[in-house]
Amino acid sequence: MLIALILVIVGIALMFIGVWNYFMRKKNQVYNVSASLDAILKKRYDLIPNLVQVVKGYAAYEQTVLESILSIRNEGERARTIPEKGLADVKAVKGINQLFAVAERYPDLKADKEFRFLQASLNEVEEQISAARRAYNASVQEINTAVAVFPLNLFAKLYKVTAFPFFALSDSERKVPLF
Amino acid sequence: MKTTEEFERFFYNHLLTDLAELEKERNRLRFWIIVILLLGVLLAVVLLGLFGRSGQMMASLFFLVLFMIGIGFFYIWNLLSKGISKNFVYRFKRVVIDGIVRFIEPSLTYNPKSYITWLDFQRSDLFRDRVDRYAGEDLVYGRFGETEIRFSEIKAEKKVSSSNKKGEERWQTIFKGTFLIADFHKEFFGRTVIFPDFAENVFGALGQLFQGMRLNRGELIKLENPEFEKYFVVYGSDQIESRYILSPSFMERLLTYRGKVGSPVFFSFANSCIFVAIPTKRNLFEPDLLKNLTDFTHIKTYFDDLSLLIGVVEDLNLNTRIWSKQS
Repeated sequence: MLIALILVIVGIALMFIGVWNYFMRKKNQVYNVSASLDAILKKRYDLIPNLVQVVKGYAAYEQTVLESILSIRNEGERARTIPEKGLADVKAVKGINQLFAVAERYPDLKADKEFRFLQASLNEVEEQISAARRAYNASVQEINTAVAVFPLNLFAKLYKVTAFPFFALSDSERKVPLF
Repeated sequence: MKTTEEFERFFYNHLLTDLAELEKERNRLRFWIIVILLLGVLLAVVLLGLFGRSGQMMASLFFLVLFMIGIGFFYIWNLLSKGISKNFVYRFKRVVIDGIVRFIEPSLTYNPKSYITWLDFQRSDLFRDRVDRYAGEDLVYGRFGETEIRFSEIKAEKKVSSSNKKGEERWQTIFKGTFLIADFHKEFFGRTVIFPDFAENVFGALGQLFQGMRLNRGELIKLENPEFEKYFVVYGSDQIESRYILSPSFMERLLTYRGKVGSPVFFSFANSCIFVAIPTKRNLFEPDLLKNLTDFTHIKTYFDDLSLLIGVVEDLNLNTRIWSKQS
């Protein structure tokens, strides 16, 4: 009888530890992917001033667009929370598209070697951001499901684990990307 | 890619003359094979006549002798048919396979005796079993547009038990089929492998649990496309990089390609290359001695198989490279 009681207590303790570890693993996964996403977003924000500089050399009259993209970039760098970062990301994608639309009007700019290199780099970074966003949202989906379903939701309350916010999708990402 | 109509024109304008010559040779070969078979049947009938009169006592001896002659005959037939058809097979491959490869893409080269190296096979990381015997044939290689591509038939086996009392060895096939390597249009540093999803298809949610337990393969990557998840299971060394490779549209392309192949397909991504392994029991590029070589529908099967393999470049959009691998 005593052995059975001990076994039940050990079993319950193991269950509590197991669920705790599960939540910690999932939370850490979200933090890891979030850190990677930040690193890639930083790459984008580092590229934007260089791109603006090159565009300025050919299209100095497009001050409004250039200033707007720089302000979006600064907003992106200042963003701390996921909803802020998501909002800044949507704006950044729009701003970059506007900048490339400006470039379309200047054939010399389009032919510029440095501009083409920066454009290709930015395309590459956008593709990486898209992958990181998807990875982040997949990790969030996993932990949020665990927080919502019975009986894990009871443990989540006990351990004070709450749902994580999703990273907003940009308009371009709602459509199927080119690659 | 070339269409069936274009191939039909190529068949009648360029291949048919050479095929008519080959067809004569095939008929000669078929004649000799029938002669050998008839001789075997005749020998069996003669033996039946001889032993049939010797009564019940000899019946068991008769079957033993017949069995041994049968085995001996099979070996002789095998050797003879291989020997006499060797030259025919070589000519067939030069005319038909080489001709079709060059028709589809003139910059590709075909070598019937070469194959994907063992090192490349290993690099794919798709099959981790120890390989004790490795062979192949029918290598096609070259550049299709911007993309370097090579593929061949491969058979990789491992010895499952040492020699038994009879001196026989048992071999287990690790992979038999077509193995393809192509330059991928994105630069990456990690490893992503895609297996046909047997576990989830058969066991459902329980299968997902098994997938998660294959830890030595890296992280299980759960993707957003339910159709893709139904057919494939993905493991990767880096969640983000795997998703960088497997963009939503690329997943659709892989699904479509799997549909075209019509059987399970393995994919892997390493060293900025894509590896595609298509298991098949069929020997894709060998002539069929029982079928008429001047028949368009028969030769079209070779065109279809080669188009499917070379077409991987277009099907997966590997030639479009505006990213880091821009040349």
